[in-house]
Amino acid sequence: MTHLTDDHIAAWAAGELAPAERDALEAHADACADCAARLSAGARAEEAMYEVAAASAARAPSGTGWRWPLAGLALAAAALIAVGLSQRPAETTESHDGAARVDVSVECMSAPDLHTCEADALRRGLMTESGRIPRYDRAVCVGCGRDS
Amino acid sequence: MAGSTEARALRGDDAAWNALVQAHDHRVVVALVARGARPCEARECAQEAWMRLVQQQREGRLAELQLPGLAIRQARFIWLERCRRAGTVVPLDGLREPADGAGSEDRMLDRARLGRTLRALDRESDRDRALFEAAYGGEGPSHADLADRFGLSLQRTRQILSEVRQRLKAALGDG
Ligand SMILES: [Zn+2]
Repeated sequence: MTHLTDDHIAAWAAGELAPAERDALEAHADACADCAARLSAGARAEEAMYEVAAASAARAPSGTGWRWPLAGLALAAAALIAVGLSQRPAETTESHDGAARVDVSVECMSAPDLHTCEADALRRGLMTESGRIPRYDRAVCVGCGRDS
Repeated sequence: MAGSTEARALRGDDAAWNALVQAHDHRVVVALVARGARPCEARECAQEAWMRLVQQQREGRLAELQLPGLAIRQARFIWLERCRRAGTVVPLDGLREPADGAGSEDRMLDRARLGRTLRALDRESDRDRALFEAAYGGEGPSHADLADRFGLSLQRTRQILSEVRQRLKAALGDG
């Protein structure tokens, strides 16, 4: 068998191959380290699809979900320290003035509205130095403390 | 539908167990390969996980059956045990909980990648997004079920899912 193609790997991950084809692909990956690594990456991407679907479905009715109106906002990394949050920032970039900035993910997929989330965040002392924007870690909305 | 099959399996119905294995086995294998298992190990661990679940049910020690999460956790446990016994170094990904597991603290996606991929999903049509959510929504519907539900041909259903997946995986950043 020749090396696995991306299409082949995607079809395997999605469970779309016939059993014989699936077995041949897996046998190849068992014997070929390069293809095994690519198959593993394909499997991770497929697993991520379940997380995306779950997160999407957890938002308020499709398309009408409430979002923070601040997507893409960059805040000084120091703001994270200011509120004592220790999680790794989502994405750090260098801004034009040379300071490290964090691209903040500002989608809250569980809070019913801005007021609720802000009120909860304030109560828990979790506002950033801007005084306006609750922060979120990877799995939990820090503002309201609910799973997102 | 999946619920009633699981209920029958919990009552010891062999045909129901076979249907559940058929529906979820590959997902269990993919979940282990995603965490660093070789495909042959993943197949063996998945098979052992199903055998243990059936045995637990027969011994009256299985009160609930939430699939595929339970099978993935069981298989992952078996695989980690094997790695430990063999003195194999477990890749970091091997320690991750399954996406729909109870302990979801440690996910495949960090928030930035999740946000990026969700925004890509938002660019899909309402129907295609709904189809994607249904396909990856946990109960593991077959493509034939989805085709019925959305009034599409089986081939069209697969094509749409494949295209949406391709765009989302591109947004994910690792192909
Ligand atoms: Zn190869």
